[in-house]
Amino acid sequence: MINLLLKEIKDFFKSKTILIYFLLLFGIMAYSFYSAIDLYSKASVAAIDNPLYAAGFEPGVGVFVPTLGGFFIVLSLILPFLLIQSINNEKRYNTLPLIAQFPHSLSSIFTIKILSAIIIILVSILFILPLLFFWRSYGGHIPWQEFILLLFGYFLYALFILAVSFFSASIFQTSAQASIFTIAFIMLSWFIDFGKEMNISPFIKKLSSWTITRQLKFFEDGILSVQSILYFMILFSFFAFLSYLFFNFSIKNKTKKVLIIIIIHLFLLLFISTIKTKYDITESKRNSFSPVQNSFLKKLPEIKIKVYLEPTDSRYKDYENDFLKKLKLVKSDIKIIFAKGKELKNSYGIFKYTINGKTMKTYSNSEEEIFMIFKDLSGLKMKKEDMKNNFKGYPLVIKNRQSTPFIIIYLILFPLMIFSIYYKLNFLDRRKKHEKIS
Amino acid sequence: MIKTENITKRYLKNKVLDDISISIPDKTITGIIGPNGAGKSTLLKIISGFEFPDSGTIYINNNKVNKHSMIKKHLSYMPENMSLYPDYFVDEFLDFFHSAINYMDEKLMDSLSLKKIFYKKIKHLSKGWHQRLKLYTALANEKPVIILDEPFDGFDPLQMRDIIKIFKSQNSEGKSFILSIHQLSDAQKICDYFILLDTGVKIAEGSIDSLSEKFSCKSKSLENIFLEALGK
Repeated sequence: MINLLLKEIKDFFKSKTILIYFLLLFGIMAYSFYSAIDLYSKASVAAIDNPLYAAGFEPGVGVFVPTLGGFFIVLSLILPFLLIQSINNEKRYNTLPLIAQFPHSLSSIFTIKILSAIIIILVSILFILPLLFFWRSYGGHIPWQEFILLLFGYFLYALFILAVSFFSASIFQTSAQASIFTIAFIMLSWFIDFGKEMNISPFIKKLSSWTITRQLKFFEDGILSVQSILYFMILFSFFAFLSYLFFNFSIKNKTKKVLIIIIIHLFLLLFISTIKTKYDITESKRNSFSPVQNSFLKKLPEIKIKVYLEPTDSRYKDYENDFLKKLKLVKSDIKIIFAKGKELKNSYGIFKYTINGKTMKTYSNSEEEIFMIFKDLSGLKMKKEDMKNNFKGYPLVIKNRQSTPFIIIYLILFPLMIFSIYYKLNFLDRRKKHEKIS
Repeated sequence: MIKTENITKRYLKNKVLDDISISIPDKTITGIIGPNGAGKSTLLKIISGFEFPDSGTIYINNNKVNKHSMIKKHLSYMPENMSLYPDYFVDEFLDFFHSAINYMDEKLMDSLSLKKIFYKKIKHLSKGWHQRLKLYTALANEKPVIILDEPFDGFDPLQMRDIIKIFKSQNSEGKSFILSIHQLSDAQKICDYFILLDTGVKIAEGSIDSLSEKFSCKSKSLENIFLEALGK
């Protein structure tokens, strides 16, 4: 089995596609990191002597999320071209009959193909890690939990890309068709998100909470969401099973099996939609209320919120980001209704809260006022607490930044490393062997 | 012995094999003969388990087989349009192949003169050498039946003579061959049992003697027998 795995990895490194993939990965990562630290450093100037402003400086969201934004682009738009080859070349050269006659089963061969692709993804992730060293060398702070969660999120996303790529490679005859299908499928998620932002239809809004990008957002926000982890795993399993079904020529009654796979995975998705467990693992706890507020909210019965704003209104966006996101972490059963038509027009800008059948309204979206309303509506008391957040923030002004080692490593050393592997596999090794033979 | 019963295969509405029942004796070199589009390759794919028939049954040694995993223990198959891995060097490919099947046939490698092309990339091989390499992948094993789709494609007469020698030698050691050949003169040189197909229908099967007797053909030329069988 190990020889098959080595062959699959070798196949990746023998192809010119991997050269392009890694060159783009290094270039984009270097550029994203450089831009992110540059902006972070410039913005930090004003925060150095201002503790209140400084508390808003978190390297997780300020440096690592934008840096890995570059990785997201590479995974979404370039990785599929590389991974599709693994299945597609067998079709292109008609070598499946050859490997199918090996003593290994087709399921083992397919699993090995998946494993080799996972190794390529892990190697890609490995090349991101030196950025941490550079960040540290500039004096930057690393929020380890957030960073690991972020990386894990991108790993799960890459698994999804892998499964979709294999699926399209299994159903389409040429790599061009498979690549177009994969990219279109990934972009569909972006279009749905865009549709949600534009408030196109309630269905799109509902659908958008299940897009890949929306689920990935939890990892970017530093929220450990069990549902999101399972969501990516289910998607991976769904497309991996489908691709195996089409890869294996000896499976009969494929339509029936496709239906079974769809039904099972729909049930799994339905099941995980009930899992609401989420943890805010950010150092600043930026996604959560204070412990006292949380324990108060937990005691509250169902909360209904009627919003007299267009969902695209910037006030609602702020309200959603600053308040609702935190509230949903504690109370997953809140109901949000948007007012429509005349009702909306007449009371535009109001938030109406209902608890225990009692209703209060406000124009304010400030956290303090909303908590006052909650207390009044529920009749419950909240312990007094020190509202001061202990998180001090990590502003960083990078003076005399040494960019040369960073540029040398990412734009010269790493590309040379990949090129030398490619060269060794394609030319060097065999020349020497040939010399020995002759 | 390999036997098929009432094999029928359609691609959409096009019937490519129509009720094919054949019985291939052990230790023979069997030629599946027919013009282009006769259904030779499809029949070989079905026997090898790479395609499903729409109806009909395949038997190997009197056991019904319906899965590729069951079939692959008994036979080795080389498709016509396989191109192996073009970016591999021949020795590199063979290293991988040997380790994957856990078997190596040094004698066969010598017979096919593969060591001459060890240093070359597969994509740089001529058609004949590429075909030799493909043949090695089909022949280098201990399976009793070898199925080859157009095995002489790309060979010049000298190379073909060498290959026929190898087939004959392996056949004398007890291996059976099933070959699809569209050149009737080539088929007659090597095969001792024939299955004649035309547009997906079996016309006849048997040795050259039995076929010439069946079609009352004075000449024992396969070409004449085949033309007689087609009524041309």
